[in-house]
Amino acid sequence: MKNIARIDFKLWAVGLLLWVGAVWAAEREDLIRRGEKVFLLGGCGNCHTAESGPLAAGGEPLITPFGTFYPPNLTPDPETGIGKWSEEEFIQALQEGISPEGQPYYPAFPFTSYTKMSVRDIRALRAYLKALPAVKRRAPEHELRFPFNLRPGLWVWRWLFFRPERFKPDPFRSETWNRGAYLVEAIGHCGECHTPRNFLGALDWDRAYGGAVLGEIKAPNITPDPDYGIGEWSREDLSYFLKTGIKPDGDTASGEMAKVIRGGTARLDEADLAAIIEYLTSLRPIASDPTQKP
Amino acid sequence: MNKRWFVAVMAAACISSAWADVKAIVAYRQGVMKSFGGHMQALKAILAEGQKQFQPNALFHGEAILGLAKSIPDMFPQGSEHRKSAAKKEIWKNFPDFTSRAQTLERLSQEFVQAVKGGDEAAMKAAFQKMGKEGCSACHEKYRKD
Repeated sequence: MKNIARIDFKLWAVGLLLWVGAVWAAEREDLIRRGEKVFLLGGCGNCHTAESGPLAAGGEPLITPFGTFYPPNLTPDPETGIGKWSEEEFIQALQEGISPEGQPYYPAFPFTSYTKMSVRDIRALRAYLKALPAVKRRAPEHELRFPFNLRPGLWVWRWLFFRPERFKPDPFRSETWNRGAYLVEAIGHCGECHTPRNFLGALDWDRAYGGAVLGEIKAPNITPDPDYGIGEWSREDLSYFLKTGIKPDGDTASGEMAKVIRGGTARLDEADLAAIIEYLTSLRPIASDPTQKP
Repeated sequence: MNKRWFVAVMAAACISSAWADVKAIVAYRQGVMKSFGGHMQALKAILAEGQKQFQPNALFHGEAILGLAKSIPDMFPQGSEHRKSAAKKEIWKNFPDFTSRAQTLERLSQEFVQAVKGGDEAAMKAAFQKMGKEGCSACHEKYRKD
């Protein structure tokens, strides 16, 4: 009798262990899948993956009026990637714009938007990145013009222009609107291209989403202004564009936006897409567009 | 002798095409690109905005895109960069890749034409989206200035 009870107990213990293991594995897989969604919608690969290079192992140089930035390696390689970063350090990088070594990042890395991301999404993103194959590839040092090459100047920049803050839902708006606002402002960081910057590279939120030119990137006005923005586009037009890249006039997206669509918005589920459109169509219209030449 | 004549004429043709007026090439190219856009806009109205009364024209639009797609590589001769052109110089650095993207549009517009001939609306819509996304936009992504 005793023996049978012992075997029973052992079986029970093994079963419990397997069950806990399976739940843990499933949860981890779930987390990684969520993280992939964040990675895709955030378009992380658009900057951090080189042309025909390994995923997230560092990207093409980003040429701006301030100089050339080299997007670093996000794979789990311990020397050249984020392999040694703790979870706290990863969260700090995105929400505060501070590297594990305590250095401030240049706002070419859009931490000014990612600061609004939830810890939950950032953890998921990290789980996804940690599951990628590690690639040894060190990004070159940024090559910036004076005075932008003086990194300590970033502390002044931050003092002037950066306030770490999480996304706060607006209780007077619908859940859909708030979801859209979070996707556009935090993860999607649409404003980083579509909002103009001042001469120090800080976003001018008085003209939020009113279109901007940065180096070779021209991001048009995406406010609902009927003449300069997307006011004449129907919700169906917007949804069709974000799924296929085809505009109402038969032209298609190019450059950065084509990447955003192919890797990001084309893969969104209907609810998230509708949320983004709900938010964009509620923006304050701006009647100008620096990308349109007279 | 005939063969030599042929080679000489071809060489002359190549050289003269290199010297051809870049502005005129750009003008032609932009005209063709606008035509693509026009047909795409018309097809979108038919397939996505419910203008079904124009559906009989879908085949014509599709065949026009197919016909023009074939000549894309020829519209971008070496050195036809221009200030007013949205063509990126990467085109001539990666010409085989550029050509293969043009061939992708050709293949996808062929598939669209087949779908129109097949008459199944869902298939037509899917083929149209694919053509826009993987045919037009995929090439614009890399080779057209914003």
